[in-house]
Amino acid sequence: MFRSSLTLRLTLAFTLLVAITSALVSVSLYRSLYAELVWRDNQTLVNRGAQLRQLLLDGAEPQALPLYFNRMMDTRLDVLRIDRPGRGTVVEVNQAGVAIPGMAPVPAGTPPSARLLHHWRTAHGEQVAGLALRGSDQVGDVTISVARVSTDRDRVLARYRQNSLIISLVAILLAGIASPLLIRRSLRAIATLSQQTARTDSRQLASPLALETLPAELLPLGQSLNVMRQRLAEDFSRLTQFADDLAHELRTPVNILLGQNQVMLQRPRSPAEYQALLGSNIEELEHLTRLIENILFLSRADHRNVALNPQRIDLARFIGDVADFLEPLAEERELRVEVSATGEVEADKLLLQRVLTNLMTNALRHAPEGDRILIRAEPVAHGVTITVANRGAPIDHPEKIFTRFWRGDDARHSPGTGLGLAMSQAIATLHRGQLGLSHENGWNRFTLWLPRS
Amino acid sequence: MKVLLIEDNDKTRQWLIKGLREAGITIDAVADGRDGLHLALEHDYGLIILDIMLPGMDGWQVLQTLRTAKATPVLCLTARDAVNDRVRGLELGADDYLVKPFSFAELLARVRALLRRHAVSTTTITIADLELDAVRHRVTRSGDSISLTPQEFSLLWFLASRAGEILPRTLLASEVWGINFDSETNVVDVAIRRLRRKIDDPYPLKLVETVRGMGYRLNQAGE
Repeated sequence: MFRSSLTLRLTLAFTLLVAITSALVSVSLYRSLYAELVWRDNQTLVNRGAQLRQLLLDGAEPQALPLYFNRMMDTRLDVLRIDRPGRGTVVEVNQAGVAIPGMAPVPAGTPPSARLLHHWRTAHGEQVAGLALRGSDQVGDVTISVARVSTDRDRVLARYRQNSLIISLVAILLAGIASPLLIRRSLRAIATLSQQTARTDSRQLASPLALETLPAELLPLGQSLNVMRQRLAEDFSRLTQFADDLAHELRTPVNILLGQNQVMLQRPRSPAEYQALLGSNIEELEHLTRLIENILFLSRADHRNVALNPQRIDLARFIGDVADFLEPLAEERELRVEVSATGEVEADKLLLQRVLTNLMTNALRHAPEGDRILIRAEPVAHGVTITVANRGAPIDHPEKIFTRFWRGDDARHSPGTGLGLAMSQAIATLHRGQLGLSHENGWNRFTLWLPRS
Repeated sequence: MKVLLIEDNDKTRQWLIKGLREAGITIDAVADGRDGLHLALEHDYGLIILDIMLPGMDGWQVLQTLRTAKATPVLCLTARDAVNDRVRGLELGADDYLVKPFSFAELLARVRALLRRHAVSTTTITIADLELDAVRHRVTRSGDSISLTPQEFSLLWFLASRAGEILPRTLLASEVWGINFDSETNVVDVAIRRLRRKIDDPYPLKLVETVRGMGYRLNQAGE
């Protein structure tokens, strides 16, 4: 599988950027240099033509002009010719051997300008600029032609082109070599972070990763990793605690089973004794079965792996049914169950039965004998609440009461697995609801809030 | 009607065979899914008890193949209480399921229910000197009219309609009160105690029997 490399991608991007930049810079500098050089050459030619015309007008001898001319310019590239109309060429300096085409001369008295220049190419392809001017000397009218071959300029430009190409290539090469090194260097922080993360095991979860050395860009990643570690550490310690508690819970029934069976086998017994033992064994095993079921349920609820089967539930009828079911328990303790319920809720009926049975069983167990328990269900904003209340002393550690295996002072003597309230709360959470406990005027009140579907 | 048991764990198979035979049920048992499927297709069983976690051909495959040819009732035994398993089992045509660890009383009650699926329903039951009338909700014992609450009547009716069978507490809670989970309370025992006070205590012949570790049974006359 091809895994795209960050270094490779960034290097390619940087190199491309350098290439484009140097190309743009070279081309634009070249163009302005070219324009500048052409402008200067043209200006020189125009000035020279004007000067020569003035010299002749001032009475200079045409034959004497090459003398000035030699001093003023480079005879290998510059051309000067003076013609007298009808009498041929008077003076010619043309070492370059440029053929001068017929140029319409600038009339006498008109100042020459670059716009009036003629441009053509020699047989070798070199560019030539030229200008013809009408003037006069002491003898009569003359035509002055000046021209210049651009060999020099072309050489300068060619050298410039070559240099810029070399410099650009060097820059691109440098970018190509240096970028990966620099990028790798910057990414070293990621490698460090990965190593630290890879080395993490349960014992180090609680200590956060060192963030001081991280560059600003990696700080959010480092912080998220630390938040994750923190959460995992909490979950992990909860899990460990749960496993400890579970082992402890299992120890009691297993100990009973082991002990009573061994004692029974010490000597022969009557069938009635064996039957009693088996009955007792079954009770312990049923307790263990419930424990297993409940723990599985809690573990699946933790991972939201419980498929809810929501249906419309008429609360008055639903609570009435559960109260009917538990009525024998109430009667046993001479308790009155007072139900006042209205409204509907959409919930998993079986799970809601569990919650209500659990809360009511608790209330029936803890209410003073001969008293009453109150069950109330009513619509509230965004949902419904079901409250189950019984008279009783405030519960110590109300925050711990929903913890798995937590039992109050009557501790190990109360029946059940010690998971009932934890399960009830898990079921409330699965329904995106809440279960809470409050104490008011001598009443302990469990309130289940469920959102309106 | 014969029952076919497909279960690979030797100990589990042994106690299931023993328990069901002693309850008067004729049973064939195999440890392998393929053999089980072969037998199931060959013979007409009244019920198949099928373990899902089988080596080789697993329970799902057995069930799926069986359903292409036969409609024999199937009771699935599964070790995992995952919801997906239940849904899958019911989709594939399982008639009932039990999650391990399950109680034998629970299994036996369900096996009997599945075997008797097409039993005719009656409106009156007579057991010894106890007479029940479902239409008028009337109970008499030795000619005395006994007044029961609706719940007590449902409980007694259920016990009587399956007289002679041991009925586990969870089944009673589910059938009589619609409470479909193990509620960790002794509410069924208390309800039975109240029922006994009305229909058993005043008479010399006790009909409602506690079977320790299993549940309750309404004894038929002469037992």
